[in-house]
Amino acid sequence: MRAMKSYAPHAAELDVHKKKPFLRYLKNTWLLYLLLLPGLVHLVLFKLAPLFGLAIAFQDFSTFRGILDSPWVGFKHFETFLQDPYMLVLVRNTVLLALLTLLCSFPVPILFALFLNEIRLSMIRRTIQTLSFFPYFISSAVLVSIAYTLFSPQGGLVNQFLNWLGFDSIFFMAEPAWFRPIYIGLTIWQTFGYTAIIYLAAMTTIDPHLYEAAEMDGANRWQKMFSITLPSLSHIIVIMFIVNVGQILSIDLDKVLLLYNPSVYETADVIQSYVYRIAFTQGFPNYSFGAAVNLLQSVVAFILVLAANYAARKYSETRLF
Amino acid sequence: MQSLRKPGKIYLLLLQLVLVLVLAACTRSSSSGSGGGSTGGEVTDGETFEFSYMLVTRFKNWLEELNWFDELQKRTNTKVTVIDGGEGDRYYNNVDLRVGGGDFPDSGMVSLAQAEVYGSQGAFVDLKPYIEKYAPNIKKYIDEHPDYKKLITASDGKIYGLIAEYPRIASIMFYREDMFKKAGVTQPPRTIEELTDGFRKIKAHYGKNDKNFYPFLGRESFIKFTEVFDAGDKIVDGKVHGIYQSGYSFVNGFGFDLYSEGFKKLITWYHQLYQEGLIDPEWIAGTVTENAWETKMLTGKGAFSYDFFTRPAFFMNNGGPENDPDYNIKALPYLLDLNGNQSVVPTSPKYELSRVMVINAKAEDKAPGIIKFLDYLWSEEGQTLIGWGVEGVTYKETNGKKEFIVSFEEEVYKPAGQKRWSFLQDRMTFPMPVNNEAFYQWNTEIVKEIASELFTDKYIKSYPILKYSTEQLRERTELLAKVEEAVLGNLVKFINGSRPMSEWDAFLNEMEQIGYKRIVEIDQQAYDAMNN
Repeated sequence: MRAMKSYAPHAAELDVHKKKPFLRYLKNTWLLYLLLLPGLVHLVLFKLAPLFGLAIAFQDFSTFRGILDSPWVGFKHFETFLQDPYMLVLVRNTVLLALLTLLCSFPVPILFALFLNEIRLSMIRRTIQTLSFFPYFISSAVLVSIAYTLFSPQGGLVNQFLNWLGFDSIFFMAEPAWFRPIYIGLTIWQTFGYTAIIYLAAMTTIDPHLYEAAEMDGANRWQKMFSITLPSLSHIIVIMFIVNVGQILSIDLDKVLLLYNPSVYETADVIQSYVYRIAFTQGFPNYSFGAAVNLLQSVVAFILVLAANYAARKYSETRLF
Repeated sequence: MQSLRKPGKIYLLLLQLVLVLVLAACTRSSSSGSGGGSTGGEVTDGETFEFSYMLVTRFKNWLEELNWFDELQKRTNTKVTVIDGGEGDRYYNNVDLRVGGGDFPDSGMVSLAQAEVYGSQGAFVDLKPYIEKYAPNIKKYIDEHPDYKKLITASDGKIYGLIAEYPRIASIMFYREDMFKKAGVTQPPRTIEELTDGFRKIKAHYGKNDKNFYPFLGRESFIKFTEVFDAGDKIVDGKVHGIYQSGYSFVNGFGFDLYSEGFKKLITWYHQLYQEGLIDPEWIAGTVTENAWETKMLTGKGAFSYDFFTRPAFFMNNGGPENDPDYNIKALPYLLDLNGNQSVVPTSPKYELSRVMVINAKAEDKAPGIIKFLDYLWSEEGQTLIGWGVEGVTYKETNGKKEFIVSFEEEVYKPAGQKRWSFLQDRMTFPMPVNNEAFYQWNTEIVKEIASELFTDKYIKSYPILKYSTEQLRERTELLAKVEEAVLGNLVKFINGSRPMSEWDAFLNEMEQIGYKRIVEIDQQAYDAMNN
């Protein structure tokens, strides 16, 4: 019997073969990693590294002494926050405002994207999309100023319209019951155009043959929208929902501070505005207290994201991680 | 993955370069950090002493426009580099960041709480030995003003900062004399009843064709006339009444004794005004802006206000007469109280606790020079310079009486950035006493008349300022964060009728539950500590 030719490579050759695919991979993609590098550096420097600063939540922090020399107080600030009966009011206001904002503002960009996609004339579609985008760049101060003028009981357009219809003026900005609708309305107006871009981008990946096939089967536009377009967006909708759930306790503090006044404190005072008053506006700033409350909110948000992701994984094919 | 073609690689490399440059540019520059100053310690003759000094943006801009600031530096052979510390509330956050980051300038303006907390931790110089050695004028003022001494002396006996004095002024009432006359109110009201009656007549005259006409307009805090109803916060026979604000309610609306009978009457009166449409509901609700209030006053949507003493001149010079040829604003003498006696109005606090000048401990070698510079401002010569300017240039003296020879309107209304002579001592420059006489004179004729008539001991009074320990301040801050919103929110409800006055006692109990009286206790403890 002839000796079998050994095809087994030498050890040295094996090593080279192991390294080669990775080196080759790196050689082919190094520019992309270079492109990623500034963003990664920014993420580490400004998002991850500052997390160590959360230690101040467990201290009586002094900016002069720094983290290393400020005294540790354990959970004192968390106890102060959680044991105060006024917290129930603040948590109620915050959760209600955040939940309602999520429920009302989440579907709007989806519906807007669905209907925008149905517009046949591209010029009109592009114009509408551009116009819907603009409010995103208006600052909260200008937005609220517009709202005050529009809703003013003395000459505001909305009340003038109501008077013309025969109704009495409503003092929108001074009625506690109107605070949440106005906040939510402003938030929707400001963000729906920008958020819709994500769904519009996802729609470009839908195979046009599906629409042709549906056309041949006799489907009308509504049926195509709800049978093809919407299901194709389901993955991105789930991911966006999980991300939004994580931000559920993040109220836009600028808008709240600009909108709130003594008349609407009972609905407008949220955790962030209370912490702002304690930590930054009166007496000596208490950064430790502010950090403690924000840490609590972040922990709650993290748990919610985990729960939402788990539910998404269990009941759909999509998950964030 | 396919390699990118050469042009694509080049574009990517360019993009990387741009991103790196942007990142570098976004890093805060250190050039505006610790400021200039190459000399330190004792200054030899002929050598200019330099130090850096941080201020709020608008104060920095105003200071650098002043001719007397240049003259001051010339006379003291000093060069002051003024650093921009940011605007508004952010300024004090920036102070915290700079102290923590180690790039606080040689000196700067901070709050009293910051001066004492950071000072006791070693961030700021103890000024006491330097005042003893180099500042006879400052020392004299401190010795002659024990209330000032108590405020600037920390619990460890050291002095970490010098507090700026504020002019002796108070809010005033002013009205559209022409509108009052046309409505049949020919005599200025002297009592609250006469004033209310005047409002009714004006409303009947001007409001019949304009449902958005409200005689009584205002901005920010709506709690006025506490002096008439004996409802102000005060200290009587060593006892603190109300959450103490030295009686001054201009900004945050506090400055009253919630539990006094007079305050209940005051709110009942406001409720009556609201029901009759005599007061701007947007103001009560807290939704009116300063611009909106000014527009309403200028366009005849109201006829009466209670505000800063220079406002009549503002309205007369900023379009009032252009909108209405008959437009005429007059100040109203303070009303009689409910007992028929002349009411006395609290002035703005004499010392501004948010304007304290400190010296960085790292610049201790410059402390003698900075203290000597400040001492000049506290001297008679320095006080004349900051109050009146230069004799023969800005003022003349006749028979021992000074008067300005430069025009207020010409100087003050010069475009921003242009050098000017101006002596508006309510604007922060350096901590020093205020020359009230000069301050009243440096204004328009209307304001001079108001100041000379109303800012006398007959009508206005300064009340003590309380100082708190760090622990007291912390507890007070936490309680105020709830109490302030709860009190103001409920007052609005009582006034607009959504909560009946019959629930007033229940409201007082609620406020006690959330800590109102505890704050008053803290104020009492602070007062006792200062006076024992």
